[in-house]
Amino acid sequence: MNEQSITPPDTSIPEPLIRKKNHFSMIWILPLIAAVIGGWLVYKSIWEKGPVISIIFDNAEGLEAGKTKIKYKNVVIGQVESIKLDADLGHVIVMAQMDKDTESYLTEKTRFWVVRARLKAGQISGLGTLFAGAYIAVDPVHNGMPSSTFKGLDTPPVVTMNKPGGHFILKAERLGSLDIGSPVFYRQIQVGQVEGYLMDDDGKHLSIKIFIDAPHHRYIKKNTRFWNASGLDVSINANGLTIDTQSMVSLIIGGIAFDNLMDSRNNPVAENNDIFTLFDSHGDAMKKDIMKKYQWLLVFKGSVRGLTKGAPVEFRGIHVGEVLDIDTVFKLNSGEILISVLIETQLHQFLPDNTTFDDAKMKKLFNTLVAKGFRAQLKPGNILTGQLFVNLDFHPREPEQKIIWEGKTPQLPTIPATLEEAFAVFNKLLNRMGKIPFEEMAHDLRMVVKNLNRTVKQGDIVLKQINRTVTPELGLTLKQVQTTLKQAKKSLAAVEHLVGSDSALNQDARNALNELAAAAQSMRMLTDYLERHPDALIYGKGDKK
Amino acid sequence: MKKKIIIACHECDLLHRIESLPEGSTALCRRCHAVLLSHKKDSLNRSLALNITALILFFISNAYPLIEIKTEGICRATTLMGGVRNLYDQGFWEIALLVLFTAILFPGFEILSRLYLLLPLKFYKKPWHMSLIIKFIQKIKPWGMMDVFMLGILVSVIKLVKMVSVIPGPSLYSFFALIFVVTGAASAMDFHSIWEKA
Repeated sequence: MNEQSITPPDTSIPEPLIRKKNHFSMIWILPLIAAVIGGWLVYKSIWEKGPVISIIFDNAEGLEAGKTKIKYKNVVIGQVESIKLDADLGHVIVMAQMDKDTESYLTEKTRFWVVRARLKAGQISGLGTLFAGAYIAVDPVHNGMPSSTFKGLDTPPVVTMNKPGGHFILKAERLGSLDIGSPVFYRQIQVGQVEGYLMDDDGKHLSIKIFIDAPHHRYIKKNTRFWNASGLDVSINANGLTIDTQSMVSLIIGGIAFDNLMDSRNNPVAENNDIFTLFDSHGDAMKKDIMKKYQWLLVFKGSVRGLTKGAPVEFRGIHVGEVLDIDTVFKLNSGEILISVLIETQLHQFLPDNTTFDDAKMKKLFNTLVAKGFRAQLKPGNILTGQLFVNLDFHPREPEQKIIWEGKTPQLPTIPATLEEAFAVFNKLLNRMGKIPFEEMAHDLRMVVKNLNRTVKQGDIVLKQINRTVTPELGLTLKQVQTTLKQAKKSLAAVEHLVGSDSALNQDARNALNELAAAAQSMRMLTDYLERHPDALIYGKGDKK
Repeated sequence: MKKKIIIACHECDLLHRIESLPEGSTALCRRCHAVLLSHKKDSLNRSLALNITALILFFISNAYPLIEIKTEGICRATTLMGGVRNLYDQGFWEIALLVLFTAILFPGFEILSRLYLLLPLKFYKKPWHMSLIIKFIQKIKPWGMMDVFMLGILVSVIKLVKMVSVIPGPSLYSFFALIFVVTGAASAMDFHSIWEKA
């Protein structure tokens, strides 16, 4: 405008185009940067926020809104936002903000529990929470329906879902001292735990869920035997006193042990959730496998005192079965009360493995056995406790009997118990003794005594004769001997007088010896002197100088 | 700057006649060399940009945790407001109020008031109650003590480091930046030119 005033106005000269300066100041970069950072933070906080879930617990002990974390393998994956009671005050609803990408494992099978310091099943866990406060642990499960509401567990699950190993189910009649977390032993090494147990619908059995850690779960075969190793297994039976325990831990908190039978190496490995029987003891568990048990009825006439349910049935010392029941049978026609014992045997275990046999074959087999003297007999197993067991063996000399196949269970012929047998023998002995002719024997004895008396009298006479003829001569001889001895005494006294200590001979001899000693001494003095003064031989002793 | 204005020196009351002041230059008193006016370069854009930046940073500072303290598994993160609330809960309500006003409310009002002035001007409009707002800004300015608060945090963090592990949150950084940006925004503000434009 200043230039306009300087130069004269001239309409012919055009005005320049004025391009407005693009007024972008560098200062605008600053809010831009701030906006980008802010936007990124907002994006992060919105998009990195995972789902909000609710977990229902029985109580909120140790939980704190805004502070308690949700952790998996000690990595924080969420945080408790709020804790409130549900409408009927029965539970606590914990709302938690989870991290991003947690949705994939928040499924209906996912389990949550509160980790606190715990003393359970012989182990202490969660000591760290004493200082840092409780936290919620999660056992993520990938496959399943996505969920956002969960039921929190009261106690930590024994086994997390993705832990390698195998789950198995044991059927038992009683729980013993087992509990969740009780150890499972294999060759006395802990290889698993009891996960849980529940009553079967029929109310007769329990299903105990166990978990065996990898790699030990492959030792579980289709016919693996499990038994309750709870506490101390003390049993007194026909075998004597048995005390069995797996470890001090199982002694206190109970446990389960398992093992395989000798011939099970080629058995297929068990699959997950296979069902097994939990036996009461190691002995029960390891009895030889039986496909089918045969029941027999044994009828005894004698007492069965000492025979109990579960007493072993043996064949020449090999365990083949056990006593199931003991009952009395009243025979109407004979008016007898008999005792029937129901046993269960696995006799066919003596047969080769691949033998298949139907009932007809079995009948024939046992008929031939019994024809050869196969009998059942009660025998004392333990003298101390008086326990009996049923022994099966061949008694070829027994009178012939047959199996009674009629009735519910076939009846195997029996022979009396060994004790009864002994009594029978003793009776026979007594009878035989009754037949001995004691009176005749006494008469004979008297005769013998009489004869003996006569003999003794004759002996007396003989002795008298001896006295009469031999004794006077004997006296004469003795007198002669006496005089001889007197003379000998005299001679000895004379000798003593001659050589005694105070005899003349002795005195003279001593004097002579003394003289000889003195002579020897003077000889030595002479030789000494001559040695020192040899000239004395020529000059004589001479004077002393 | 075609308008002729007469301005008195703040220090010695000497009257000056200012015809025009080029951008980026400062007018000094002839007698005592006190600053009469300074025509800041691109004042409107600069102060607007800085104030918008300040607003964003202010939000970040308040929305995110300032610091996180970790010791033996116990983990505590707190925001600025959370800190105020903790102080209040522990019974230090005076300090809580002081922090609330000096570190949150006053700086916040200051930034918002400036934007209230600057945004309409950018689009050639006159904001309502302009003089009132300018007076308000001048009143609360001395009470914005974010820098003091920041120093306090730094000192306590350094002392805490020995005992616990301190993790600085995003808020701490944005708060740090906010102090500079607010200072810059304040210095870029040219009330004279605002006054003139309005």
